[in-house]
Amino acid sequence: MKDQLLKLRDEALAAIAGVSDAGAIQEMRVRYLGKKSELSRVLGGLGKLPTVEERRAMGALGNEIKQAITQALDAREAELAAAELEARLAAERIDVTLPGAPVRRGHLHILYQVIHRIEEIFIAMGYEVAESRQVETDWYNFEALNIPKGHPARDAQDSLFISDEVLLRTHTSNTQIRYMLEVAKGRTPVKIICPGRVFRRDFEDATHAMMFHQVEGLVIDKGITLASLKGALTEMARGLFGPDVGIRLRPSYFPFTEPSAEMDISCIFCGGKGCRTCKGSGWIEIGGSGMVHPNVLRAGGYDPEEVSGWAFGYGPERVAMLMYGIEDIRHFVTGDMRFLRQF
Amino acid sequence: MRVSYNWLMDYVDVDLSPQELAERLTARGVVVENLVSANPGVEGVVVGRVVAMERHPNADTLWVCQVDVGGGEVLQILTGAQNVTVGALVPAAVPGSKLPGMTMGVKKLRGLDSHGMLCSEAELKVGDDEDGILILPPEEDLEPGMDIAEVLGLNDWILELDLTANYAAHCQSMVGVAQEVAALVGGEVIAPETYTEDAPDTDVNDLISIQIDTPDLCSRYVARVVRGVKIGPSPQWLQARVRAAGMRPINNIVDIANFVMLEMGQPLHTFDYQKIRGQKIIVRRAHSGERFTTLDGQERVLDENVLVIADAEGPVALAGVMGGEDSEVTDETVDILIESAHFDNINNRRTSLRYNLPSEASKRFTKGVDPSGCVAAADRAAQLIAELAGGMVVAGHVDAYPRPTVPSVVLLRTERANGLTGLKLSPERMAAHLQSLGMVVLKPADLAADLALGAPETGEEAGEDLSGRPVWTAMHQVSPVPSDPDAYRTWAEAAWAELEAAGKRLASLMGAGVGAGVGAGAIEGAGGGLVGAGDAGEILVVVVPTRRSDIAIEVDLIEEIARCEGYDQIPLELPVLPSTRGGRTRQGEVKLAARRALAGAGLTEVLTHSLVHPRVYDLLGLPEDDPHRRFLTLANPMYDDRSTLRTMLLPGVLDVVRYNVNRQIRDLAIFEISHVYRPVEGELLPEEPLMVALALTGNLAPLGWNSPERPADFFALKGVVEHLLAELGVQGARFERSENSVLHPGRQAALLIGGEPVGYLGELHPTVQERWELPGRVYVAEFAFAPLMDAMLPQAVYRPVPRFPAVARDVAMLVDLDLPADRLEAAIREAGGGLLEEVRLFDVYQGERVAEGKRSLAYHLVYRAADRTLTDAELEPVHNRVREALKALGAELRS
Ligand SMILES: [Zn+2]
Repeated sequence: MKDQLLKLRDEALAAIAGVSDAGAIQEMRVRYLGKKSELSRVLGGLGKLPTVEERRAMGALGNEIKQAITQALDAREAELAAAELEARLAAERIDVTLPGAPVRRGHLHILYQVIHRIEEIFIAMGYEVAESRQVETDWYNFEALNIPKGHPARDAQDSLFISDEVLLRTHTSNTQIRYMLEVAKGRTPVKIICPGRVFRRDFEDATHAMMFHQVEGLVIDKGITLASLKGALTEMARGLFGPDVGIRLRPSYFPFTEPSAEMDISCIFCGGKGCRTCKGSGWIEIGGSGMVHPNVLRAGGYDPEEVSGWAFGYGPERVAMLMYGIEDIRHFVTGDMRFLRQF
Repeated sequence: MRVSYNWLMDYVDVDLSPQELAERLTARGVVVENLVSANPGVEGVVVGRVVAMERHPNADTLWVCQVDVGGGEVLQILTGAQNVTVGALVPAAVPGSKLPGMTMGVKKLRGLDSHGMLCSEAELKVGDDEDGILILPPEEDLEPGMDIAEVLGLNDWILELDLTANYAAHCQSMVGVAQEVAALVGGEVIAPETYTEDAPDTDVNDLISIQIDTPDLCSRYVARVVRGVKIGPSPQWLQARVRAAGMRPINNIVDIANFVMLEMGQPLHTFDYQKIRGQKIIVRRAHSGERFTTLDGQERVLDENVLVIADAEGPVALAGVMGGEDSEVTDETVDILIESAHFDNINNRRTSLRYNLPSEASKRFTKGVDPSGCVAAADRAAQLIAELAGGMVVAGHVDAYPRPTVPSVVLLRTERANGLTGLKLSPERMAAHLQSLGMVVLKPADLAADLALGAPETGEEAGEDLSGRPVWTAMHQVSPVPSDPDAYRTWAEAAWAELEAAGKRLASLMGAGVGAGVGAGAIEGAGGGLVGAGDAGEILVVVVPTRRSDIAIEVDLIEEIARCEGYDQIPLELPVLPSTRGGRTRQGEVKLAARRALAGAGLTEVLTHSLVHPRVYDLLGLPEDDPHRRFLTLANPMYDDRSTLRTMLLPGVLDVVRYNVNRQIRDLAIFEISHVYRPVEGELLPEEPLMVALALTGNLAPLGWNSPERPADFFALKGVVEHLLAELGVQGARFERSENSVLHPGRQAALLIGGEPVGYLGELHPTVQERWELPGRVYVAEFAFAPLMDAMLPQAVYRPVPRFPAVARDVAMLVDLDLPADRLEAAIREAGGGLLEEVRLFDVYQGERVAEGKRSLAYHLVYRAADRTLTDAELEPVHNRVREALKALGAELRS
């Protein structure tokens, strides 16, 4: 009986080793371990064995063989499953360099991106963003800003008129007056930044537009100085162009400020060493600034003996053109997707 | 303004290179825009004297000249010019010398050698004349062999100034710029000589009288006469000066007038005295319809807006703009009348613009000229004419000065100067800066002393006693005072009034009453010296020369101090301000959120022009009475295409679509959020509402290797609108079938918020699409922004996350084609009540498989209770109610 059992074992193990598909494993389980298997039949003869010792010994051997076959079946089954998975994964291989499914990307206009950035810099310093109308009266656009009729500054800013009294604003400075009179009403401090659309009567070419934008800043409080203007402008320039940028003020003239200053930033292309963009000077002109003229403070309802203030203004188009090397100011309004989709 | 460096050095002694000077002037606000060499590339060209000449044997038009080029050398030079004579001094470009763009050599012309060439103005790039050779004036100090660049003043640098309005007036002369340079280096201005050698026993008053009818337009008119002159070319040095300033030498008289204008800033005009009829000059407005021929030969028809200089019979000049043909100085002129006058800047500018006669003179009047300089300029010109054109200066001036200009007296609180600039300068340093600009700086006690003495007697004598009157004295010193007794009397009255006004300001600054004695006592009581006056610190009393008409108030002086000290000396401080809450306005915030939502939905933002051509409304086919046709028109448009303010964004957005489609970019999804301008009846200013515009065309997603293309359609557009409304949290929005003639009649809707229409969306009408030359269908929307803002939830409304499972049911039905889907959905929601969580339409079909006039719709419904698991028994009656509601609408349920 022992020989019979051992022979059965060897036969089964050999067969299991030769199986190559998962379905056959189940068949074998039935064939070698099932109730009708050869093993069951042989072990069914245990009772006929003469001695208890013999019965016990053969019983134990039978169990051992059952176990061995079960283990062999399990191991082979796992082996086959792993091979099958591997084969499937190999078959599912893809070309990962094919392009991804497109997600449509939208774009904010580059000019508004720049304006938002300027706004954020000043909002972080506690400034309010103020906006006002674009079609304006002569008083808000000129008179209140110390530009009476006949003032040469009116010629320099060739205006587009609707009537004698009404025009398209030539700068965002009207917002300063409107904010002082309509919002602040004499309260201090005033800390505002005024972005907006402005208009000039001009020929249109790569550097001139009839419609463009400005960002102005205005601060009014007791004890405001040119020194703090320098500080605020430096913060702004660094926020826009990076931490190494410096600013320079040069004496200039604007009717609404006195003293007035042209503001330059150190050249962002050559770091101040001098290059073509800065015409070798190391500086790039950005805009105007100065201490608010007493007449403007008075027009806004403030007493120049009590408070002082400064203001500055510049064109975000120019800033964007410098930042990205944009060569033609008309790109901002033509709506060319090949331009807009780059930002 | 072009400033010759060499010429400038005549008036100020400085040790700065042209480059250093340019840099330092710019830093002071006198902006040197360009620094250019005056030499266009002339090198080694010399003065030559033609010693002999004959016709070329083989060419009629060529001359063979023997030219003494100095150093005993005589060269044979051929020329085709016909104005050369024996003995003439000419520029000789000898072999090896250089002209702009070429180097000279020996060249054969019709068989004869030419050793270089003789040069015209044009060849030397010093003028336009290219026909004749430049003939140099026969002067003793010109010798053959001299460097022509030196002779013509080409070894020089030109500072091209770009002057801001406040410096434009006093820096539009060599002397004015010299003043700035002197202040810069702490030097002195060397003023031009204005002494005249008057002919004995003559009096200009016997020859001419002046009458000013319009003192508002002509505050001063000074005349001088020089008799017996000979008109001819100017000496070389004078021609060089005139050329350096960018003007053209004409003859000695005209050149002198221009030279003095360039030097002193005062425009002059010269008349042929003999042509002035009636020995009389009248400054008046022209009569309407009066005719006058200017010296360019043009006959002009005048009116009352034009200021003219007339004689007894009629106009002889457009004041300060251009002289007349009849009174022009010609080669035959022997007696010269010099006009040195001051004209109103605005009127002058209008006249020069109106007749398109810009000139150096008119440019200066426009920017402002100092009337105090009239006499000195007339003197300078008279003396130069006598010296360079012969003749004798008739003694005296005629000086009509009805509206005198007096020096300003401006008070400066030193504390305030430091307070505004952030500088920390001593009063002495401030005073030094102001003095360097020609101002006189005094103390309050000085002003008090003047006031205490009372108004001075201003009798016949101008040279009254000035002692004990420091401010009064300074007012006499900073700028020339009229010597004519009548003119002086008016001057003195105005000057004293200015002084008294300064006294009143001082008294009020020092907190004293402005009572009797105009505060003189009070000022004195406050102590002598630089007076401490509370917060104001020390006060400086500054007397400002009349040439600085830009300085009228304290801050003007503060700017002068700051720029003298240097803006680079201003410290850099972070603003020390009370901390404030910064931020955008609500509109600004929402606008930004909307932009981000639309860009996030894959749309590209565009920015279109506020100014449009009114034909856009015709292209859209708007009816004549459409309110969008009520727009604002510019009174002075630059281009027709930019002549009116838009009343809608759509035209600009359609232009962008066409622009891109024409460039093969056919897949577009764009938006704009911007203002339109709508006139309001009875209001001066229009409304400027903010609008949102959208346009989709082509494919939203292009054909991909594993995805189909997704063409734009009405529902893609509607989806964008719904996305925007959802992102902003807008409540109560609804879409309704509409009738907008711009849109496809079957594919358009009105957007309603709170029941009010705020805009439209739809497919562009095919005829509009065709008129706009757009090849494919375009889906557009435009609606007002403010109603969106008003209908926004202040914040999202939170409902607890569900804890119990949902139950889903689908319902499919056949309905009539004209039954709108939103009615079905509304019925479902109403019947479903609180348990119905979600309704989603997932299938719409119409076609062969359903009856004609019908379509099939299928909805996916989700039910859920917040506090329990729904049982079938509980759900069934609810879902049945939904089914019954649909049947009530005529739906034929299919599941
Ligand atoms: Zn650079």
